[in-house]
Amino acid sequence: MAAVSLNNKTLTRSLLAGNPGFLTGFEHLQSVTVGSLGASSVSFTEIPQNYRHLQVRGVVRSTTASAGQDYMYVRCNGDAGSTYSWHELVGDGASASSSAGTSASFMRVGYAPRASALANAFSPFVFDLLDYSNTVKNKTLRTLTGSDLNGSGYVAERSGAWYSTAAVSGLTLYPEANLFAANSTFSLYGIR
Amino acid sequence: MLKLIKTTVLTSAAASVTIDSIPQEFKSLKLVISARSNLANVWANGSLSLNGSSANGTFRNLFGMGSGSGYSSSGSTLGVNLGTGASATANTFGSVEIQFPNYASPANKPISIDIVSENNGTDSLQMFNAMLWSNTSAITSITLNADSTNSLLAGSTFYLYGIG
Repeated sequence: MAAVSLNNKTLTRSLLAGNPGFLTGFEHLQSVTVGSLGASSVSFTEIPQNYRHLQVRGVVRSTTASAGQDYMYVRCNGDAGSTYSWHELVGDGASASSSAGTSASFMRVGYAPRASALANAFSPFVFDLLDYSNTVKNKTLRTLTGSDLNGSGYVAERSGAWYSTAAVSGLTLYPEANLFAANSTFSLYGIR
Repeated sequence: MLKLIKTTVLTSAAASVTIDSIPQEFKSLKLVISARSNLANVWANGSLSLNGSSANGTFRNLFGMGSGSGYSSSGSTLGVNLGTGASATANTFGSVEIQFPNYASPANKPISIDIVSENNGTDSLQMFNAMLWSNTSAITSITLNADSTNSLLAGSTFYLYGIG
């Protein structure tokens, strides 16, 4: 059964058998919100292989007992070897700089404001992982992130590579030090 | 709403890729590219043609190259980086997202581009590019051209999405 809104002529299909369903191009797969005890890492596992790309979005804070921010890292399929690289273009409100990490054990993705940074400040990140199920390509991700702490902070574009042609079936995100703070949130999306 | 309009997967090297007969019912277009070229560089220079034309383009960008300061430049072309080049680590492709808001409108067309290459070495490109195509025609075709006599390599993928 389908319904058509008389206000905006939007066609809405039910999910009853026989209907084509909601074939949107951007689908939520999993979400994690860190509890009151914090978390040393957050993992998405058993990622389905029937999408073209993945996107991960979130807001992050760390429990490190100082001001400023930690970095957030990501690994694929539990691989902790020196099989990654990352690059970044960073602005701090006054100037821009760039840097890199090669033969690294992670990809640098986001920022995580520390426990003594501006209260309740979480830093956002969004990264796209294209052709994640392709078994010919190494995997490249592209990230936009930033951390504004009301007087200091950074904005960054980052890229990362995992030098493996394996399909990505798992992603593990973790802070540079200590734990993700409570209410850090992470969502995984599939893009058709 | 995000809807995949067309996918192009190169099975052999090509000097250019054209996506044509673009439907006009969306508000915006998003072109997602995972590409590598045979240009002897870590990243791959290239250009856009819109409706078959490479004229009337201007841009300004902000970019980093893996070390040192950030840079900014501008120009009067539809030049765009399309991913990694032949000097990047083998089997490694860049990641590019090009936004065409109001692509069917009768106004000049602003374009935003987010580009990264990757490479297991210090050199790599991270770039934002703001572009203007000073043409009021609706965009009905997009061509991605490799630089000069070079080619986009097999395995490069191009996904055009409509945003409702």
